[in-house]
Amino acid sequence: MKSVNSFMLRALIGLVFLLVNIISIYMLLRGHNLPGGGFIGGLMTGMSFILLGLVRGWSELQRELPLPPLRMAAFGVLLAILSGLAPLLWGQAFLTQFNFHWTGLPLLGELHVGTPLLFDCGVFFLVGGITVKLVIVLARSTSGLPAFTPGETPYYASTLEGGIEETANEEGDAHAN
Amino acid sequence: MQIETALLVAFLFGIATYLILQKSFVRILFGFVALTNAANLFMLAMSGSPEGRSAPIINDSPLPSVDPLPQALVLTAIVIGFGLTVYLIMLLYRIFLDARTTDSESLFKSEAGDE
Amino acid sequence: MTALNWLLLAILLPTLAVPAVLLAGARERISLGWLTAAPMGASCFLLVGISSTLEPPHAQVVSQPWIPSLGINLTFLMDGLSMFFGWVICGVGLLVCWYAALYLKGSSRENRRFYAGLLFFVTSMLGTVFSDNLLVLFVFWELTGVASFLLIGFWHEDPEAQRGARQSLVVTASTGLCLLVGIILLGQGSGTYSLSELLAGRARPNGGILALMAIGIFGKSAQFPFHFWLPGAMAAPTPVSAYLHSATMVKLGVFLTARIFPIFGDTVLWLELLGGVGFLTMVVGAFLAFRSNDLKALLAHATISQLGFLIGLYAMSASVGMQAEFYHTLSHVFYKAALFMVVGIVQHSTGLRDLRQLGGLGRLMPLTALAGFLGAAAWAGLPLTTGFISKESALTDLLELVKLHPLLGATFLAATLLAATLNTAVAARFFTGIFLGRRPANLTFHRPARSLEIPPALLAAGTLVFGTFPGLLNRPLDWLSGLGTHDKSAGPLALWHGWNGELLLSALVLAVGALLYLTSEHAGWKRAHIPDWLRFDEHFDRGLDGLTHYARRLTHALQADWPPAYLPLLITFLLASAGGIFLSVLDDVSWEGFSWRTHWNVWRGAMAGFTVAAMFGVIFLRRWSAQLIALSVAGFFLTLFFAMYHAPDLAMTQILVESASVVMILLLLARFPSSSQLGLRFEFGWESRHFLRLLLSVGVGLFMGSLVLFADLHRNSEPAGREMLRLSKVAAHGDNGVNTILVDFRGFDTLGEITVLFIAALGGLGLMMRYKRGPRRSNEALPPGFLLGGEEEAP
Repeated sequence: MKSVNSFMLRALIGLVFLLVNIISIYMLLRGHNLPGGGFIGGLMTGMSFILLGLVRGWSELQRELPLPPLRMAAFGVLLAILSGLAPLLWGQAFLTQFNFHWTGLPLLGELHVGTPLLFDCGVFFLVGGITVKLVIVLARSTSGLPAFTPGETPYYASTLEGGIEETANEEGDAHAN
Repeated sequence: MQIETALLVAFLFGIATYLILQKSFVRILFGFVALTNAANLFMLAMSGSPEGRSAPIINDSPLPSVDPLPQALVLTAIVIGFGLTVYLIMLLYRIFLDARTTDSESLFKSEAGDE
Repeated sequence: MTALNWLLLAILLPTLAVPAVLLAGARERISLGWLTAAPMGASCFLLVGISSTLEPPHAQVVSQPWIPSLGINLTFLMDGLSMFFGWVICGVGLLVCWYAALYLKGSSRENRRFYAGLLFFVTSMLGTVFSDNLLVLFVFWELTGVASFLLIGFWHEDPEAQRGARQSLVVTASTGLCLLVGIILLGQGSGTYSLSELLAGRARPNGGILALMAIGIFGKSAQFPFHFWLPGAMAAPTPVSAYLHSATMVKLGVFLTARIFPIFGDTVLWLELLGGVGFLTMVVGAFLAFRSNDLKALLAHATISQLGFLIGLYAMSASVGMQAEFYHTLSHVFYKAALFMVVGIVQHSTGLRDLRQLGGLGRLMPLTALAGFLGAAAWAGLPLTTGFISKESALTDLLELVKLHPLLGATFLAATLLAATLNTAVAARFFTGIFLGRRPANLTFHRPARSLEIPPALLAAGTLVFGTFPGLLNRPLDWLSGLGTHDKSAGPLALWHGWNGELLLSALVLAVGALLYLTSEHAGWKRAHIPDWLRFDEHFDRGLDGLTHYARRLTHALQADWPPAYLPLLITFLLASAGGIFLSVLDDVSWEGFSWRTHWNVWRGAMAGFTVAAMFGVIFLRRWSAQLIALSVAGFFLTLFFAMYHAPDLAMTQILVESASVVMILLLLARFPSSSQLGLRFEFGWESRHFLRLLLSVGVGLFMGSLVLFADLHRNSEPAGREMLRLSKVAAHGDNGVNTILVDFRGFDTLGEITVLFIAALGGLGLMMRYKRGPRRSNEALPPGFLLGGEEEAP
């Protein structure tokens, strides 16, 4: 699949991306009380990146990513574990939750935050991270290439961040005979 | 009674099995996705008939809610199923690149021929 | 410190010293042998100290909870039997260390391994003999097998050592399993695993349990038909042979026989089973020794014979009483360990172990020759040695048995006399073959270190001293017997019992044995090879090979490495087993309340119909693009279905996952060649595989569908989820029941699940970026891959 060459779409997709992510974070935050949560939020964020990649091209997406997605995912797992480990410091059981309740805050009024939110954030980062990572790797290995033809030879990836046929495309042209 | 659900589960499992038993990678992949869906639905059906019940969210509804536990299990199962589907996709691609075939029968037959 | 702590220290000290041995080995100046001897000496000292606190006639039991829920406590039983074996283990261990210090010089890595194994062995031995709990005893029992395996395989590049180590492990471990079953049956039947309680009369023994435990005993003590592993174990270094495979480990069977003797002594099988096997082994071992040429094999077979004798004695003692039970063991420990060490010295100084190539060494190393002579004399049972007294008292028992059970007693007596005759001849050949006669011309000899000759000489001196003045042992042995759990007391030992039948028989045995020796010597020992049909070790190896072969064939038959053939098999099996269970309880379950005419929910019915229709589209549509669309349509209908189940979280997740999956699948399929379309068409012919596929699909569908209905009809307990939802606000401070379960009630599960996801993702990434390979290097060695190489074509 090649990136789309429509100015309107390219411009609009940024807006869509922003909107989807706002919703996804909203989903994450409200998850404790209403439908939503880390899984849904993470998948939504992942989808927003997929949309971005479909429109703007995967290489560009990877260049512009603010953070390496795999590291985000690892960070998510770590966050979830840490949120579970923290109570151990106070002699509580693993994954015991703590809650903080504030009232009378400006703008928000009443706010309730518990350590489960931290755990949910971990889930969010993990799900989002691996979705983005997997789709980028798969897409960079496959997209922009025609379907296989009988004479074609596959080559294999060189760097960890690259796709499986990344090298083939660059070197393959140079060595084509 | 959940006769509709039971029928749907039966058909989904049957069709998924049928697809998985074929030799084309594409069909196996589709069968796998269908199998994931079937298993999820099966789990969800264990929460009982939803009629006359409300969503498992505390609200003012006078109705009793459905059992949230199967839902929680299925939710993670869906996401894990997604992870495994992507894994399968990558596996099939990798096999295809190595063996240059999209047909499991020829793949394993040619391997047997090598030995 | 309590007695328990001291005893625990005595048991664990050798193993605790292992790191010290491994670390100190790097320094050349420290002799590893002496370093190893130190903890053994300490253990020995501790044991003597502990025994001084014991007062006959009460055995002491010390206990410490370990796994209380399983009834396993760290309980130790200190009585005469365990103390005796504890002393033997530590005492002989000290001498063996002394010997090994000179035998395996230097502190190379191999030697460090050797001493570490030796120390580990001592701990497991002491643990076995002192354990009160039968299960703990079994664990230590198996640990001795592991230690033995490691030590036999010491020269692990030698195929002979590999074979010996493997055989010993397989035999002792598999017979050990029988022992375990016996222990469990005994423990469950009697309600306790504690030996002290069992011995106190709580045991409920029966012949079956005895038979199972006896198999374990026979395996460990190399009794017929498991005797073949012991000669194979002689591939170990000589100190190991002397220590493990003559003096201590193989005695464990004897030890356990003595242990369970008060429990099982009155059981029907006791005399017949243990006596029969013991005396049969005695004859077989002696016969095999008679036909061996290799010194170590010869000694190994003689050991087998002697072990059979010891077990046979315990078998008899149920009827005729036990006389001098420790004296027999002690006698064997003394002379057999001495002889092994002698053989080690001979091999050390000549490089040979074959009797036919040796001779005339007596003048070159007189001390060793003396030790060899005393050992062989005790072996043959010459007067003034321990062997003589041992044989006399055994004959007394046997003659008494003849009075009680004429047939059985006569058989055993005949077996004993035959074996003793053969042993006398072999002992004579052993001594004369090595030390007397003419020295073969091509024999190279270098003198062993003088101190290497001392340990065997000490042991051999023991046989002489205690054989001439057996009264010396009266007090300690009486003390041990008094402390024992065996109420059969020992009479005083004496060299001279007057002119009686035993003496006559002894003389007869010696005379015939000497005659046999002379005849064979005259014939040149031509027939001294073990006939093929008695080579149990080879039969065993063939059996193992056959088993492997058969297992491989069975595996190939059941598991084709080919999913199209394998998957139906797997599904059939699952379906048959699950469906079989389902059908077998079908009579007990009621389908009451089921009716096709119940209320159908129109919306859910419609959604189900659409989903099924879309799924049929996946089967019947022709192109993958259309099929993919059908699949995602089915997925979206399923989302609606979830929504109808009042599962908003699920619906949202499903729709997102569905979209992401479609993109991913599309990415893959876009890259597949057009040939991938070939297998997509729906095809159905009148072939068996089509029918099988259809049958399996229908079966799986029916089974899962009826399972849903079944579960729906039998909803008899309150689901856990409701309670979680009720607690959701109170305990988890959230309204969304699904989310509180995910992040709070079952947070640990979720943590596991996201870890699984992460690992799956890493695996997928690994698949996509495996090899570094550019087009230019494609001619070089190909990396291992699925079908690389054969499929590779130049563009």
